[in-house]
Amino acid sequence: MRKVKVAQYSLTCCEGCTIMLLNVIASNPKILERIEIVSSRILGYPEPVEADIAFVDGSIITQHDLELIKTIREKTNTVIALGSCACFGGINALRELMKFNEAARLVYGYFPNMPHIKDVKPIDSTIKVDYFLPGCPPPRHEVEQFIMHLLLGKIYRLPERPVCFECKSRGLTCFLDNGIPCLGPITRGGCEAACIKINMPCWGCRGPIDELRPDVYIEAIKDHKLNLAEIIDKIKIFMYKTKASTILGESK
Amino acid sequence: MKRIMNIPVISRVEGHGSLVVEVNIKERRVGRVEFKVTEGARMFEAMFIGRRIEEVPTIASRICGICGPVHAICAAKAIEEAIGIENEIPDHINALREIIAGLNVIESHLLHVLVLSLPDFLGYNSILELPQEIKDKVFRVLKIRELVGKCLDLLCGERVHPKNIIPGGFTKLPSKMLLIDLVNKLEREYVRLKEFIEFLGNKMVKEFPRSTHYVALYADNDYPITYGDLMLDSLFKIPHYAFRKYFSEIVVPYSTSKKSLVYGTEGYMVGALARINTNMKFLVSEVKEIIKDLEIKIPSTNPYLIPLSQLLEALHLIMKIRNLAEEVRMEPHKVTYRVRHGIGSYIVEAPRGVLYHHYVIDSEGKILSADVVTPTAQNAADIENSIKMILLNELQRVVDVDKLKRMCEDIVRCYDPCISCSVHLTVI
Repeated sequence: MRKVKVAQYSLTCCEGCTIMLLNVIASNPKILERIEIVSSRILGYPEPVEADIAFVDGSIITQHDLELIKTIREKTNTVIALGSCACFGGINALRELMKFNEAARLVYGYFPNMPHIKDVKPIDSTIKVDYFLPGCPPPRHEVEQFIMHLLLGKIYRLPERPVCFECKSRGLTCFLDNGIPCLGPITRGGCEAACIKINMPCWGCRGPIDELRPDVYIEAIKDHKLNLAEIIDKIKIFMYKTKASTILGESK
Repeated sequence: MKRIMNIPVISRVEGHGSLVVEVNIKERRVGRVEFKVTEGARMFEAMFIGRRIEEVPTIASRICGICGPVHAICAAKAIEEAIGIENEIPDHINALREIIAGLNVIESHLLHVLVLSLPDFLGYNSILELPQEIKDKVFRVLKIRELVGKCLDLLCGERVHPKNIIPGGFTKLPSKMLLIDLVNKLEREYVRLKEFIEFLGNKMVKEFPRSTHYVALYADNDYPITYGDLMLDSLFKIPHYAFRKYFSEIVVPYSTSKKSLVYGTEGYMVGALARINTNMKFLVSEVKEIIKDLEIKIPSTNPYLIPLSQLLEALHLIMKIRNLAEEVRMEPHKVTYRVRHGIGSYIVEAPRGVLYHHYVIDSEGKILSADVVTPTAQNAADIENSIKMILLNELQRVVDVDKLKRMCEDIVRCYDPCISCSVHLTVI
């Protein structure tokens, strides 16, 4: 059987998603019998080459990122946005709360001549993306399932339930009921409520659910006498570039 | 505000780097050597501003996908100092942080040595091209890394970016039984890692006489990861709050990372080799024996020894973590605190060396300014010096440009500047 050619690329990000992908492969080395890794900077093959599948993590921040993502699209059949930075900007977009020049001056002291694009862009702003796997990083079981689906030639669909569903089906205590801000109601589930299990409220790292009901969420916030401004502030951490931030931001 | 504008800092350094080296082969001269970090600037220092203190460790861990837990711990400790509760943190919370940081160091070291650096020493391009016999051994040792990852999953919720680290402690901790179970499994792998080092150790020793400064944490009685004072060249003690006094940073036009210097002008080395130099006497006796058998002279500042010292350090830390885990308590998992205005900084040993976090907090518990100095930024100047040195040595002989390229890349990778395969080289 012909091996599936897999490429892995990183744009600007922390590369935690790359590490996650490598962890999945290293702990299931049998995957290597079915796939062939043709491009991966971390494994020593830095050049973009023709491939069946490409995993891309990170967002478009530099001119180089922009050129690379276009090359990737030309050379690949199926492009997968791996992680929140690639899917919708993720935490990288948080910088946009501040003007670019202001931030640069703060961090570097003066504005250095570096190849920056001033916006932080998710990759689907530039090219067509076939699959999205959001999360910071995406849940490991989801990546494993996704690879399995791909090798079997099936289509993987993201779960369309909120994190609240994950909590309720596991009988976890609700943070909102205890007066602690939590983004579970508007965030895509499928994460098995990993954060809530460890007593950390949801930060919305998987991005908003498709059928976002901001009015219901705002009502729930009011019912629980929580501070709306504080919650909108929290949404910005991971979801600044998504509809969740825009819609709820306007309602303020 | 003015202070920060004068001291420019990068948020993140690992990832996309390149190298530009000018050599004149005829006249045997080396011109400029530029280790460039071309990664887009994400400007984390700007992101922190206005954030609430309990959010900071979670955001800080996103600086790096390999050493996320260490960033989160460093941020939490710096904030604790800023709000004045650093002495109220119970010992077992500090011990757990030491365990988490130690696990993170082992995980990162095994990734770097096995996947990134080992092919260089054996003369291959990638781990996937190694001969089957060695590849099997490498994959077997990678299982240790998976086990370390499982320990981190248990303690922090997730190995890449921890979920439960907050100022004052943890949001929740697992039961001690589960931790002991995993740590015992890890201890059983100790022998396997030791055999691996004995099998490959001598292939990872390469001569390169040179001298430079080195900096690591030192704590009088142990091999510290998350406590102690800085020690420069095993001679001068520098407390963490004086970090900025002794180490200066410059912005270089060619790189999105800047360079750190000591004594105002000189490069220095941080990381596993610097730690072993500083804390040699606290290593477990078996590691000391291996060092003796391989005839390595410590202290050393030979960058080729960094991958080997990472393996040795991983071996030492497995023992240390087991001892710590046996005594650690899991309750209470945090201390409560009151927010106040303040300034705090902290230093921990990230896998690649000294990591510095500094925060200014207002009376409502929001961040006014933040400052992060990462290990790769501190190594940048030393990387350039090493390359210059090795090229000068090499140019005395008949040279082949491809070989020179390869040598420069090898040496950059030895320093483990995070995702080091990104190094492209242009000889002009």
